[in-house]
Amino acid sequence: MKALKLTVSVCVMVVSAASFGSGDAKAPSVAPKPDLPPLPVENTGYIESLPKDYPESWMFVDEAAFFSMFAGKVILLDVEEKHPPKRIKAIADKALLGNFAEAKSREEFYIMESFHQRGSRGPREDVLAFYNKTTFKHEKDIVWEGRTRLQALPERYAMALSADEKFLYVANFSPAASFSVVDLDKREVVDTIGTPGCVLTYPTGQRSVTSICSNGGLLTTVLDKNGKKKSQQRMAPFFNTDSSPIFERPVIIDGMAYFPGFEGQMHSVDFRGEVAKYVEEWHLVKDAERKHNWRPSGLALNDKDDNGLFYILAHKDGAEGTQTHGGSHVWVVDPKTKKRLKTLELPNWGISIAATRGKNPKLVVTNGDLNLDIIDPKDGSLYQTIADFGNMTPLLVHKAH
Amino acid sequence: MSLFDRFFEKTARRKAQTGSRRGFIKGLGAALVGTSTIPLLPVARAADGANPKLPQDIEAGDPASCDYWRYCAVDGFLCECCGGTYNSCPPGTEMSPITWIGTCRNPVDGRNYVISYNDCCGTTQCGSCLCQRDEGDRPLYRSDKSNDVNWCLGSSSSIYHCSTAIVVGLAFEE
Repeated sequence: MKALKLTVSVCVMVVSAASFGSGDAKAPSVAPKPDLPPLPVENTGYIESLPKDYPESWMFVDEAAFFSMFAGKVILLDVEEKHPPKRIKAIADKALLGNFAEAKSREEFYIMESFHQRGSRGPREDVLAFYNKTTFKHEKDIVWEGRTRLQALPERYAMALSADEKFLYVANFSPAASFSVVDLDKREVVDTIGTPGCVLTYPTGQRSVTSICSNGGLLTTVLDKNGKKKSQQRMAPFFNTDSSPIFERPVIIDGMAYFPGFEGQMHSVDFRGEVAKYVEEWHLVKDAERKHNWRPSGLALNDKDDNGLFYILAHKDGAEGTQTHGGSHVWVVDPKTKKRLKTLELPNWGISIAATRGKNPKLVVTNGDLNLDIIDPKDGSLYQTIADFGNMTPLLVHKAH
Repeated sequence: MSLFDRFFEKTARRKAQTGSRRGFIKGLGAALVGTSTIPLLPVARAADGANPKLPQDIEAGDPASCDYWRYCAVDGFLCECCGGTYNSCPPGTEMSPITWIGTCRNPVDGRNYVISYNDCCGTTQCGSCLCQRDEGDRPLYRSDKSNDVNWCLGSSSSIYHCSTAIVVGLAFEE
């Protein structure tokens, strides 16, 4: 039985090498050279590790695995690597629509996930898993009290870190809304704070968390130095959740949050102070485009780069119901001047977008085939399309640091 | 060709897409079509027992098609294609009692009905007849209208399998 398994395993390896290497990766057909010395015996048990600081072109792909949610995962991927077998750097499990966040100053990332004891049955546990970024080894689980963590399509702000990365904020939805505060030094939950009618965790100031509410306003929770609730303050509604809804997915640049509306409005909110402050409304859509119902649209429809710009997917002929369908174009926006600098036509329909780090970013667009198109935002040209990296539904892509 | 057409070709789930370009990969859907309803919170209303079929359903089209009238808000795998029906769960699953509400117009009698999109839970994803229609869908901050959440919240298992679309009343006109 063992021998058979080995044989099968070798066959698979041979096929894989031929199939997934570069185009000319056929096994060399040279005459044997028996006069060469034999290969030395190699050590077993060696496991690769990763650099402390990831290159700018590495990204965390949140693979939601919508058709097999047990098998969700986070894939660390070099999106600029041209040689397909070298793109995947490491993979971590992320079960049942788990949520992901990465620390910048700590060598760790976090996955909030759920398990039933026997697959789909048995008691459920919600678990916050700590991973080391250089080894990708799992280091610790914190078991949640009750079945409360938010289980939804991937969000950038289902978890977030405080400005000093001392605390991790984790969104809960049972459907009662709350968030938990995790002390990352002690690796323990220090408080769980109710946010009635308000969801998600936008980091605010040094020790505050803002959530978006069902009445069209915001709720800021101010924490004390130990991560416990100090006070809460509600901001008056600034949009109508029925008639002028906004996406719950802001781009946050240097503490300023830009929430897009379904019809192209932009709402600027200041998250730099202790409590969130509404600033102003402006518009992304030009008059001529409005006639053709151009609108922002997509799942993770926007992201920022390190130059202070943001990118947002858009399509024409928008209507009620098209808000999450994605777009044919990308609008490049400078939020400081409130100007759209450029419109890029995508080579394929896009449903989610992200930007790599650095002065010369690339756009990472989840396309209609649920592969990743890597786009140069300077001219909209296609750098490459990445497929066959274990992807099924890569709905959200994060920068990796 | 839209992303949805290509996505569904790739995943061979065209059956549920007849007559509609819609379709995506969310857990559930919510919609508000043709009229307004009194805002409702997620409710506990899982139906029990057999449900009679009347002309309003029989004559209204194919319940395995994404454009069937009740699915104006559904977003997920149609239970009709998974061993259940539009208002019953497949064998071996459990109906979540907590869900959200949409409003759909029946084309046969012209009335607007309140539809409860109860999930069937406890078995891995059905994977057939994926259907998305986002009219009236709102982000997580309006949980009563949000299809981004896994609504297998009130069931013993949180594993999402497929979605039903159950008539729970006539819609109130504002």
